[in-house]
Amino acid sequence: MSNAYDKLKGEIDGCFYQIVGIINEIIEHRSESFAAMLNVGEKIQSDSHSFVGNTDEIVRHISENINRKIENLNMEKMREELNEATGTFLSITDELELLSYNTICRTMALGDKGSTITHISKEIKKYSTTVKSLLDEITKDFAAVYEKFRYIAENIINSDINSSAEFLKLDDTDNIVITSDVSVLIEHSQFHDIFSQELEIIKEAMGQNKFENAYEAGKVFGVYEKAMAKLDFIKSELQNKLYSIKEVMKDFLYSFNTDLQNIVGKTNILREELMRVHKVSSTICGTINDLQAKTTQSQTAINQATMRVIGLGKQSKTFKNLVVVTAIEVARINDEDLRSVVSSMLSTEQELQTLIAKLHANITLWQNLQKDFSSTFKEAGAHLRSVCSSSTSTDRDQMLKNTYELEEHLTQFRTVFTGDKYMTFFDSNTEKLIELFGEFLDNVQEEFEKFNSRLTDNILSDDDFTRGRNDSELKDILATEDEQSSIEFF
Amino acid sequence: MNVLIVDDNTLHLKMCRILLEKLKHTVQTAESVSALKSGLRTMKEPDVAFVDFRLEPGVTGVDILKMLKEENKWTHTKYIALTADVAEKSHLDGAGFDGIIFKPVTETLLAETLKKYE
Repeated sequence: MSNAYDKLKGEIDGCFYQIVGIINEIIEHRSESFAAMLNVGEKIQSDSHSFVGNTDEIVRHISENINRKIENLNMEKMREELNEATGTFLSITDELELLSYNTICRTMALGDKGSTITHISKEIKKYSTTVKSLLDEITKDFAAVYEKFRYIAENIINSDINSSAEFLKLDDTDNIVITSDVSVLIEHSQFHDIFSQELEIIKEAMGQNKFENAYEAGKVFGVYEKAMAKLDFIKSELQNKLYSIKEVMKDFLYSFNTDLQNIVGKTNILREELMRVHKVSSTICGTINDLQAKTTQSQTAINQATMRVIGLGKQSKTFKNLVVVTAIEVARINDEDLRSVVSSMLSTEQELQTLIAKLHANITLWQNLQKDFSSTFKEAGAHLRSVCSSSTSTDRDQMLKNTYELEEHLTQFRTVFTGDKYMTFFDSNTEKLIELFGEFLDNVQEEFEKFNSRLTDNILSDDDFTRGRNDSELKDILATEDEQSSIEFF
Repeated sequence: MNVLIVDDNTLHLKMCRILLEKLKHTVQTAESVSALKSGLRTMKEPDVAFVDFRLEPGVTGVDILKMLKEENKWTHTKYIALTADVAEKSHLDGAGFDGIIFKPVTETLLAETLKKYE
């Protein structure tokens, strides 16, 4: 008999260990694999935020700096001033040309007397033609300078530099909230202890079925009665306990799978956003490099324009000399009409000087603008080095690699951690456990019947039997636990 | 393919949208039953609809399946149940879904599922 109990008790314990094993395996997965994945997920999240945050800060700084330049940029006004100056210059040279024609006509009428002035006037006409062609070149030079700066300004306005402030933001609206609480499972991981101890007590009690007198027979009888009632109670308690463990496991697995889903979701979203940020920052790096090159090119155009304006100044000195010589000659021949021509030439010469000064001033403005843009893009380039450098792409690539590895880890984890497997295993063990309990109860029942058959009517009607039955005891752990809980509770 | 996702987990919804769009599918989403109902008038019948099982109190994915199939007459659509609840398998098996996906859902899993219906 003892062997049968031992065998059953062994099988029941085996079942308990299987169930506890399932709970422990889930706990282990939650504590190790999941914690590792969560750590990697959080690391990816924090690294991405830091990477994007740094990029955002740099680009924002550059964007603000450049935008301030664009806001203060009055290129159109500079261009208008330039056009006005060159336009006036051209109309004056036209007038000068006309004046020189008139002078030539007038001096030719004077014959030999006016031959020197005729010659000078021809020189003035030549001067006008040279200046016109110079001005034409200067206009082209300034147009080239203007186009270069217009390209820069338009590219800044149309580039991602301005809209990057919105682009370089990671999704932070859906942060992961971990809901799976392993402590609930841990609480149930030792559930079998009490049931196992109860069975041990019953098993031991069943081994003591010898009696010498009616009192002892009554005690054994009472123990059998209590054991059977106890087994019924334990079985029902065990069923309730297993049911509640199953519910806890089900809820836990749901929360756990949701947590895993959220980790994989967040990782995927971050990966896509990292790639988008990379694309935006690459475009910005490309734009800044392009603008830097264009700014450098603008210096060449400005230098060319400067050289031509200096040339214009030299021509202007020649014209001044011609005017002086004309004035002396007119004074010598004492022609009243030509005096007024000289007076016009003098005022024209002064006006041309003013215009040349204006052109120089305009060049200075473009030069300042060039220097300003040049230093801005140089600074931007230096800042962006940390965004566009190969070490940054290594960091970013590592982050992307981590996201792929995490997903791979999760895919593998999915193959070992299948909730369905645990639930099926749990159900089959639970069924077996209840079956074994039923078998245990049947055995006790059978033993009780055998014991009953040994009791004679004399023994059964003996008062000592009744006393022994009433005095019988079976240690009650489950009830004791309940009592203890009640005491603690109150 | 035209894909509809009904899920109250916005993170999951967003991830599915990103992954499916990356796989060149057209994606429609609804994060609640009311959002789905109000969007139905303008929604095109999808080729595949992923429907989360646990949606909101009193409404499950099975109710949504019934609504889309019977009331909305989306008969061409293939319906895939999404769930993180392993214990729902038997319930979902007989509910009329064309397939079940257990969460966590990955890009590979989504791609493999849709490939079946291409």
